[in-house]
Amino acid sequence: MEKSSLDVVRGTLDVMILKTLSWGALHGYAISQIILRQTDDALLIEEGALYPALYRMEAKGWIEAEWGVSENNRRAKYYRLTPDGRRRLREELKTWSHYAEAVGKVLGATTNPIAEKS
Amino acid sequence: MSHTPMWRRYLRFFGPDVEADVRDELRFHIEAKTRELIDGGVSPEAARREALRRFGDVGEVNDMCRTIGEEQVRKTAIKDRIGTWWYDISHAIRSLLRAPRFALVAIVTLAGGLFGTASLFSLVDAWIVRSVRFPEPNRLIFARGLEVRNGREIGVSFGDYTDIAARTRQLQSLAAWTEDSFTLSMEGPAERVGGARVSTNLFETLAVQPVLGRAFLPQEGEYGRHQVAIVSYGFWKTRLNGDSSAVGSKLNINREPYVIVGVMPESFHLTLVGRANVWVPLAPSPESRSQRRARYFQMIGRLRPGVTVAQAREELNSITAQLAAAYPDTNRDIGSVTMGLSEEIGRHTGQNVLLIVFGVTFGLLLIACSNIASLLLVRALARQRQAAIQLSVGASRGRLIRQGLTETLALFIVAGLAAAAAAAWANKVITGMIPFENRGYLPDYGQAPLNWTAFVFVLFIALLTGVVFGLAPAMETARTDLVTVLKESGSAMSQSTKSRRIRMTLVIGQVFMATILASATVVLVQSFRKVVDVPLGFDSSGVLTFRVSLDDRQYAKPEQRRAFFDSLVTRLGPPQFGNAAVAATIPFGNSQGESAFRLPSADGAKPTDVARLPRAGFNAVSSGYFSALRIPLRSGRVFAQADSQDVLLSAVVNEPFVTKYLSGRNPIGQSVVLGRLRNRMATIVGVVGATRENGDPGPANPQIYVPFDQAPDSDAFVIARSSGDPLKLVREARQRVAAVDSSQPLYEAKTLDERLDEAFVPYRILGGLLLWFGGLAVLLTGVGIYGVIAFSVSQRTREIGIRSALGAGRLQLQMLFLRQGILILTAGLVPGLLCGFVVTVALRSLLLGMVSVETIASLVFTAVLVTSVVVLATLLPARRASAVDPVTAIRYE
Repeated sequence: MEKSSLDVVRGTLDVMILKTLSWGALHGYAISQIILRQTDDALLIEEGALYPALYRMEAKGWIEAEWGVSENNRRAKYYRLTPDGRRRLREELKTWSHYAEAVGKVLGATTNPIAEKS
Repeated sequence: MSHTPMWRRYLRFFGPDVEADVRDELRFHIEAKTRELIDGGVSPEAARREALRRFGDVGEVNDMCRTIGEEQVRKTAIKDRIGTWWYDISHAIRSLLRAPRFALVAIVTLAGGLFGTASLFSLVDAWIVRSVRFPEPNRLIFARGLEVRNGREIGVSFGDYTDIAARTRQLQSLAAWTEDSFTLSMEGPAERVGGARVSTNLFETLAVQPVLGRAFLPQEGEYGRHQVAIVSYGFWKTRLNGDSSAVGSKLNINREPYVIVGVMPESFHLTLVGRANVWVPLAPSPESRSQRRARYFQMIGRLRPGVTVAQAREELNSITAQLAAAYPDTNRDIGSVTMGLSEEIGRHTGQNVLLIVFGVTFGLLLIACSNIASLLLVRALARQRQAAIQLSVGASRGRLIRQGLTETLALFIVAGLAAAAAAAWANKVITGMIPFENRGYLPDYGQAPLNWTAFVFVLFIALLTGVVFGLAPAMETARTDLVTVLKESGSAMSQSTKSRRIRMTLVIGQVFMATILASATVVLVQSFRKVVDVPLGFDSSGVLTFRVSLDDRQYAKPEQRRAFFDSLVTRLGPPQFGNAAVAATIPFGNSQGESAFRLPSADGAKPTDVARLPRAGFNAVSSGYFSALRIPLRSGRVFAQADSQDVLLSAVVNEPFVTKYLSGRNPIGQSVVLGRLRNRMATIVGVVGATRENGDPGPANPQIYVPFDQAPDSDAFVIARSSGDPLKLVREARQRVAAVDSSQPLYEAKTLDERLDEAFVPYRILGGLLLWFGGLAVLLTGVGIYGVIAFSVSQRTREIGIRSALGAGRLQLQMLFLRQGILILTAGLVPGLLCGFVVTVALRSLLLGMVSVETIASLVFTAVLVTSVVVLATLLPARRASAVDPVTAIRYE
C-alpha cells in the first residue's frame, strides 16, 4: 500500500517539477515550496525526496543546472528546462490528463455501471 | 559558517566537484527552510529541528544525489573525449580540404611510395625469395654428379640415383628430379609450361604437402602407373579457375591423359627445382631403370636429424667411389657434388639481380619517406602561427600535438587505403600482363599476391617518418616564445628569416636527395637492362634442340659415335629441316664445357704447371654448327669435312679469346694445346663472333671450338633450324633418331627460344618492372619537389600581392621564384651530383664491374631531369601566384 503510493508520488513528482520549472529557472528550495503550497503539503511528504529526482532528470537531460545567486544573496543551484524537458512535459501532461480523465470517469460515476450494462 | 568561500568557485575550473555541490545544495535548502520558520516566529533551535524533520533523511538523499551526479560526470567526460576526438578529426579533414593541393600531393606521394615499395617487394618476394621456403631448410642438401677429371658438374643417372638412395645412411630420404617442358592441351591452343619429372618421394623429402589432393604414391613411380600430375597453386588458380573439383580431372600432357591428383600450396615455389608448374612422377621404363649413361637427374636429400652437410658429402663421395669401382665403364672418374640449401641458393639466384631490385625498393621507400618528411615539415612550419594563437588562448601543448598527429594520421589513413587498393590491383594487373607462354616459367604461374606484412612494415616506417617530421615543428612551437612567433607572422613580410632559412634548407635537401636517388635509379635500371640485353651473338629463332645420350657399351668406339651423329645430322635435312648440327654443348643448354689450354707461341712451348694454365670455354661442334646458329665468322674459316681427319686438329676461337690471348697477332695459324684433348695441339683456322652461353651478365667468355668428329661425346645436343614451328618437328626428329638407332632416346626437346625464355623470363619481367618502378621513383621525386615549392610559393602569396601592388609585373614576379628555384637547384643539385657520382661509381663497380662514359651520361641525364623537374615545379605555382589579384593576395593568410 505504502510502496504503491510512493511510486505514484515519484512519477507525479517528475511531472510536477517539470511543470513548476516551465515558469522559469528555480532553485531546489523554491521548487519544493511551490509544490508544497500548490498541493497543500499533500504529495511531497519529505522535502529531501525532491533532490534525487532533480539529479535523475538532469542526468536524463530534461533539466540543466547552474550555480547562481538567490534572492537573499546566497549561492544557490538553479534548474531550468531544456528543450528535451519541455517536450517531455508536454507528453507527460497528455498522458496525465488522459489518465486522470479515465480514473475520474470511473471514480466520479453517479449511476451504477453494473445496472447499466445488464 | 554558512557562507560558501569564494575560492570554491574557482575550484570548478578543475572539473566538477559533485560531492561539494550536493552538500552545498542541501545545506542551502535546510538553511532557507530554517530561516523561513524563524521568520514565522519559531525559535532558531526548533526551526532547525523542524527543517531537518521535513527534509527527511539528509544522509540518504546526499548519497543518492552523489551517486547519480558522479555517474553523470563520468558519462560527460567520455562524451567530451569523443567530442574532442571527433573535433580533431573533422578539423584535420577541414584543414586538409582547405589546402587541397597539399593534401593531394601528400596523399599521392605517400600512396605512390607505399604502393610502389610494397608491390615491388611482394613481386620480388614471391618470385625470388619465397621460392626457397621449406620446413627445416637446413636439413636439405642438393647433390649432382662430377666429372672428376675436369671438374665439370653433371647430372646423375637413374641407376646411380637408385643405388645412392639405397645405400645412404645419413639421409632420411633422397629424391631425384629433372626439369622438363610439357605441352598441355586444354581448351584453347596447346600451351607449353615448365614442369618437372620428380621421384615420388620429392614432396616428402621437401616436407611439403599439397593443399588439395595428395602427393605421389610410391607405386606411381612405376612405368604405366605414372599418369598422374600435381600442379602449382598459381596454375590451379589461373588455368583451372581454382576449382576444387580439378583434383581428379584429366589433363593432357604431351598428348597423354594424366589425372591431376594434387595442388601444391601457394607458398611452394620450387625455383631451385626448376620453375615448374606441373609435376609428374619420374617413371623410367623397366629397361632404363638401371641405366647409368644418361645423366640428367639432380638430387635433393633430407639429412637425418643431427647430420651435417659435410657428413652427407663424405658419404655421397664414398658411395660414388664404390659405384665407380663397381661399374668402371660407365662410372670411372665420376664423383659427386653436395651442397647445403644456402650454397645452392647463392648459385641459383642472381645475387646482383636481388641487389638491384632491393636497391630500387629501398630507394622508393627512401623517396617516399623524404617526401613525406619535407611535406609535413613545411606544412607544420606554415602552421606555426596558428599553433601560437591556439597556445595563447589556452590550448594545451598535448592538445596541439594531438591535433597535428590527427592530421598526419588522417593523411596516412587515406593514403594507406589508396596504396593498398593500388597495390592489390597493380599486382593483379602486372601478373596479368605476363603472357601465358611466359607464365609457365615463373614460380607459381606468375601469381604474386600483395605481401601484407611488407605493406604494414612500409606503412609503419612511413608513419614513423610522418610522426617525427610532422610533430617536431609543433613541439618546437610549443616551446618557443609565443609573442615572437605571433609578431613575426603578423609582420608585413610573411616569414621571418629563420623560418625561411629552414624552408630553403629543406627544399635544397630534397633536391640533393632526389639527385642522388635519381642517379642511383638511373644506374640501377641501366645495369638491369644490361643484364638482360646483352647481345646473344646467335640467332635463336626457329631452332629445335634436343639431346641424345648414346649407350656407351653399344657405342664404345669414337668412330661408332661419329657415325651415329653423322648419319643423324644427314637425315635432319630438307625439306623440314635445314642446317642441322651436333655439338657437345649449346648456348643455354645448362651444360658448359671448359678446357685448360696453352699457347706455345706465347710462352715458348714451355710445359707449364697444369693448375696455372688459363681456361676457356670448350665445345666440340660439327661443321654446320655456326651456320645453324648463325654465329658470324670474323676471319678464316669454319670447320669443313676435311677437319674430321684424325691427324690434323683444327680449332675455331671466338673474338674474346683473340682479344684476351692473341691480341696484336694474326690468330689464324696459331697453335693451341688443349688439356681437354690430352694435350693435343690444334691449329686455329678461324675466328667467330662471341656468343652468350648462359644467363650470367657480363662480357662473353673466351671460347674454343674443335670439330665434333675429333671429340665425339656420347651425350650430345642436336640442333636443327626449321622454317616452321620447330616444336611440330619433335615427332619428326624422333623418327629420324629412331631411323638411325631406335634404342637411343631423344630428350630435352625444346626450341632454343624456349631455353632462352627459361633463363630470361623472370629477369626480363623484373627488368620491365624496375623500369616501371624506377620511373615511379623519379615521378614521386618530382611530385615531392613540386609540392614543397608550390607550398612555399603559396606561403608567399601576401608578399606577391604587395610586390604586385607596388607595380611588379608578372614576369618580374615569376623571376622572383625562378631565381629562388635556381638557387635551390644549384645548392641541391651540385652536391647531389657529387654524391650521386660516388653512389653511381660504387653501384656500377658492384653491379657491372666497370665504370664507363655511361656513368657521366647517366649523371647528365639525372641533372637534366632534376633541373627540368625543379623549374617546372617552380614555374607552375609561380604562374598561378602571379595571376592572383593583389588585394586578395595581401589579405591572404
